[in-house]
Amino acid sequence: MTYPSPHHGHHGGPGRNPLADLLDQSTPIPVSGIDVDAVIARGRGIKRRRRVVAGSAASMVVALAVAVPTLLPSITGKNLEAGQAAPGVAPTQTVAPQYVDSAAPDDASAPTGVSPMLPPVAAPSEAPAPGEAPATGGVPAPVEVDADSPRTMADFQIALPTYLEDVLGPLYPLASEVAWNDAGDAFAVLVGPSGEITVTVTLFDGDVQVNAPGLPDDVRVALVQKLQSALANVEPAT
Amino acid sequence: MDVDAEFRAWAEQARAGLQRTAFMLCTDWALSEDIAQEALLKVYLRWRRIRTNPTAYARRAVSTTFVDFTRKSWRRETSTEELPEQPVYLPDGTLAAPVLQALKRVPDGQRTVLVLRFWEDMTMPEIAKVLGCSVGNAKSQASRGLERLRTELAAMGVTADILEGT
Repeated sequence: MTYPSPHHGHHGGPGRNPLADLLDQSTPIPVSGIDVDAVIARGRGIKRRRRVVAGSAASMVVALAVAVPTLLPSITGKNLEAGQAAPGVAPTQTVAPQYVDSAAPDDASAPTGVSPMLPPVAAPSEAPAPGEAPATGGVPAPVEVDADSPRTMADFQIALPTYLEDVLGPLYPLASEVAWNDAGDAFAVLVGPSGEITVTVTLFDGDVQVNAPGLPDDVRVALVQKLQSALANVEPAT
Repeated sequence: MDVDAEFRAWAEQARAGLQRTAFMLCTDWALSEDIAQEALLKVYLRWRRIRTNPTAYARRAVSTTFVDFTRKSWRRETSTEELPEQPVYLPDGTLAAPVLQALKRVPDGQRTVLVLRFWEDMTMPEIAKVLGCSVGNAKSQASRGLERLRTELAAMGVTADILEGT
């Protein structure tokens, strides 16, 4: 059974290499059953999910900035509210607590528990709409991160839940948000057939390691490959 | 025209060709639909950046999606000493021509190189990039793939002369 040659465009038509001609004659032009509208719907869903992921990261920053000043007085015994600055910080500067050294709160040479480096953080309701430039000091608008090709490590980290969900989600639904420890390892809890599985993703020297006791090795390897593939697009920090 | 309408107009006319290429790579009609669909999704997600030449990106996406499919371990074929007979059927239920039957019996990696080289007209460096291997490795796979194709065609009683010049 042969089919009319459908070739146009780059394939060039009859006269090119014999194998291509043979394939051309042997392969039908399909009446494709692909539903383009379904593809668009899936694409919209993925884009929306990426925006939500990026938005969640911004929300975490806000939550930290709100929570830490509340906790600081009980940790350091100092009140940072109402313009009372921490040692070493000018009173007019807006401060956003970043680091607490509760072991040495009264040592003037040690970290004071306050970093003046972070910009002031606005309430979530002040966040600009997607696509708008954030006002100075406001919450950055949710940024769309292209999980297929993250350009920076920050993009990669934002997209990490997407990778986990893409590879593991169909078989092992995520039971938690992705959390990070001080060393930069990411943790997530999955629902496995015999209980919860904790996945640890460790980044080192531009590579990635996945530790997940209880997760089948082929699934773990698939996740490693997915993460390595995404990491390959990340530009090294200069 | 908005982005979705623009994409839809392009995808409606491109989907059949993409599925055809996917079919040659995997020789399975149902799987070719999945591969072409995934490739279209990749195109959609990058439409703003590639809208000037989406077809070139889409062809590449079909290839990389197929390679991803073959690498996923739970979909990986089980190696056996003797390959089982796996006829290739066309969408209308008829048996595919000998060249497609023979192509099906060429190992995945070699078949991918053959299709990318001789059907997609990719250069060896382009193929190496898609497969994530060296150019030398891609050339070697192409050579072994052609040899295997000749052998399979000969076993079907088809003269291997038809591959002269490839």
